Amino acid sequence: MMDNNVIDIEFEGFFLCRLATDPDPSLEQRGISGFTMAVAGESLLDPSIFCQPEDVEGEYGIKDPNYMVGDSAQKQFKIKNIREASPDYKTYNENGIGLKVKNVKVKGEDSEILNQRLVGSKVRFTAQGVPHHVHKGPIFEGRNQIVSDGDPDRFTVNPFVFEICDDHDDTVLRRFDPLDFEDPEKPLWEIVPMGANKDVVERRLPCQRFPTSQILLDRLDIPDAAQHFVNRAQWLKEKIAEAEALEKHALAEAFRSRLFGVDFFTQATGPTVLENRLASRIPLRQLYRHTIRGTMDMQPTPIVDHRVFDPGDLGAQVSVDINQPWDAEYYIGAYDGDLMNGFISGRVSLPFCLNNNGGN
Amino acid sequence: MMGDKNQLKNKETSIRSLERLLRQASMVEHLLINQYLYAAFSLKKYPEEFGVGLDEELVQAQIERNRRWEAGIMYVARQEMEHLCMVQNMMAILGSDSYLWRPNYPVPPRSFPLDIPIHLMPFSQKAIEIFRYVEKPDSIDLESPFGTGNDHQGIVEYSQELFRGFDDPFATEFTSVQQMYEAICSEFKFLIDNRYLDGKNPNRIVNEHFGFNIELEPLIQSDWYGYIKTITEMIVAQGEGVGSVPPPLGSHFMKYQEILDGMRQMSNKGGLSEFALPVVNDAMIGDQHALGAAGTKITNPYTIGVMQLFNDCYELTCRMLTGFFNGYDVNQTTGIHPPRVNAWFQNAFYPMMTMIIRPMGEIVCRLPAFKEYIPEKGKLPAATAGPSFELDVQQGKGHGDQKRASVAAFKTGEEFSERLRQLSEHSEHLAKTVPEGYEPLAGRNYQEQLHYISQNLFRMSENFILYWKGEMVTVIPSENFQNLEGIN
Repeated sequence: MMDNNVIDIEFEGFFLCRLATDPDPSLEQRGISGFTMAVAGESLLDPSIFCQPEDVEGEYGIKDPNYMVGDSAQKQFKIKNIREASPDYKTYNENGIGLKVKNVKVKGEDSEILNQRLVGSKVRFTAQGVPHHVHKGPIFEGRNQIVSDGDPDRFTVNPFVFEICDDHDDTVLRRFDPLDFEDPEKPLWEIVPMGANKDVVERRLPCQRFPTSQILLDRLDIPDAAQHFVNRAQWLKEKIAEAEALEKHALAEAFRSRLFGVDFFTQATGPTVLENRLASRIPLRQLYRHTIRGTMDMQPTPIVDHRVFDPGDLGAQVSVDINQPWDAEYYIGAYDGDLMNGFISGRVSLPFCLNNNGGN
Repeated sequence: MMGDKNQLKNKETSIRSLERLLRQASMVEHLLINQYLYAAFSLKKYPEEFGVGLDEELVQAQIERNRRWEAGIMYVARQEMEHLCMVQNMMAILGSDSYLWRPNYPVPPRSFPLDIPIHLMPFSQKAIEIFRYVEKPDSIDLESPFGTGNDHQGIVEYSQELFRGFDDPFATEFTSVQQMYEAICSEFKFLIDNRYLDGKNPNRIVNEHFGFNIELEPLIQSDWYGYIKTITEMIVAQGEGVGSVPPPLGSHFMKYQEILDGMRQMSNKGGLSEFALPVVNDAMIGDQHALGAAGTKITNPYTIGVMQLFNDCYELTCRMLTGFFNGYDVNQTTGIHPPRVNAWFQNAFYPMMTMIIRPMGEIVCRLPAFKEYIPEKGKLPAATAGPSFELDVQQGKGHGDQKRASVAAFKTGEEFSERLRQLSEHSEHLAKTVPEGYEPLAGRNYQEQLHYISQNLFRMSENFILYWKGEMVTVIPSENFQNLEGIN
């Protein structure tokens, strides 16, 4: 009989990632020839993935009023580097940045107790505590085809640390997955995916890719992917006029640069499905499936607050097992090059043991 | 019999003449790419580079304009790369080897269509006027930016002085780029119509998507002239805007016109008159020039080291491109290249051009040109260097084999790989020896950037040999794309 002692944590939300995009070099900080740009009033590009708006605010602060026009119900848009979308992108404008626990299952069934306790908790893909990592968060590391497998759109999230925090932002769950289990601190650029190393990188790359995902478009309530940036361009034109009327000339130029990016990068630039570089990424959904295997010998070490994950109705104390790998399955998609954000949805499965011989 | 001999002679003369024309076209495209990149890399990117005491919002607004100007120039440079590729395709059809050599800068006037010199110039109104002039269609009658004689930025006087009485070793007979391509097209037509030429090397026709803004025509087997006509028309349409009145907005001519319009609107607004870093004209570190001493000799020892690394990386890129264009082949059904082609393809374009040449060019534009430089916190050097794209080979007449050898592909993958490793070590050495006080005014420091470049060159060295041996294989960008969503 299959062991069903598993807690499934389902999560989703928007993340921010202001990475340089090719043909800009991957360390580019302004954004010149790629489709992502740091504009006036924002800080320089940084490839770090941010999963929580508080982290963005903590790092960059709030916007200078000279670089704002209009008002928004979404308080996040006062945070520096978090951009507002045109009104048609309601799902993003209403939710903003933030990965959260959506549902919890125990032994395959929704757990009312754990849902009450955990739904809405902050989820992070983080890099905190990872030795030698120089960025503020994990990054999509490709280095313009040098360290990935040569595919310009297939990246690993590096490093991979999964974390859940409670209402006080205290970590209740954390586990690191090393790329190379035998040498956890080995950087990606030193791992050539050949021979024994082939799977080291491959296991962390997308295992399936859907270029025109209706599931994703439905989830984000985007009725027409082609219209997404047409609406944006129109809205940016209005913002330019608004900023000029208020004599905020630098902000007007910032909107002009965004409009330039939207106009230029929605033109088809090649024969493959991704070559409408902005619009094609909206319905693109990439599925990752791998285990999370970090041990107490690796930095950062696993953290589990067992009390939080014990529903208390299994007849024995639940102890999440950190000696077994955890299964992670998540997709990343809808990367909006103008807003520099995307959507993550997934599940991490926590095997557990029952103490005092309770349960099955 | 006599008629046959004459015909043979006529054929050989025509083919040699066309080959010479194509080499000239290759040089023109290659020279323009570097010239445009030099100007693009010289643009200021950070508020700190505009100096202190200026209105912050004005500076921020200007940075946005600078970005769009630079993006425009980069776009033109990428399309020139496409044109260079098309010229190599025409050389393949003619049965010639690809040709990636070109003289070092500055290039004397008679070497270039339009009878103007080609300088490496930082971004300025005069530079953009010159670029626009080079890209103009014949139908537009623009005054030569070299003919006015009242240039406030000195490039005209400097140029006239530099080339006074100089015997030009690479003379051209064309008065425009458009004319040059029309002549190439006519020569091909003559050869094909007279059955002097049966197109060769269809497998060498590069119809590759390099990843960005590239529109390459597929060759319809045996319709050689149709192909030549299409691509030469495309080159002058994209560049000079030939075929439309007025030239289309995306043409190189109009891109430069757009930048000029923007610059004129901004002229000295709020004290913002210097859009570029203080990059010298025609920076150079070597002594390989047909004119002997030419350009601005860089004397700062650390800067010379970084420029040498830049030039070595550039030269290696040219060697990879030569291999790529000469050996190009692809399985038209699977899209898979033979291993060697894959090694060149996976290294020359994206990583070498975008991850090495570009950031190094930007670093060089911020380093002091002269040895007398004394660092002053918060201030740019009074004069900075620029990426010189120098090829270390005897210039001037003759030495054809040596010139070609200076950009020829290495015979073995090990040589390429070893060279990449040496460049990685050089970059790491430079990262560790940044002189005290040498820091960019904003952005990442030189040590961090050069260390990153070193890592990338090291990894490219590993990748190169694996691609070469076929142990790493071609990646098909849309591999494992699925349209049926069964999971999640």
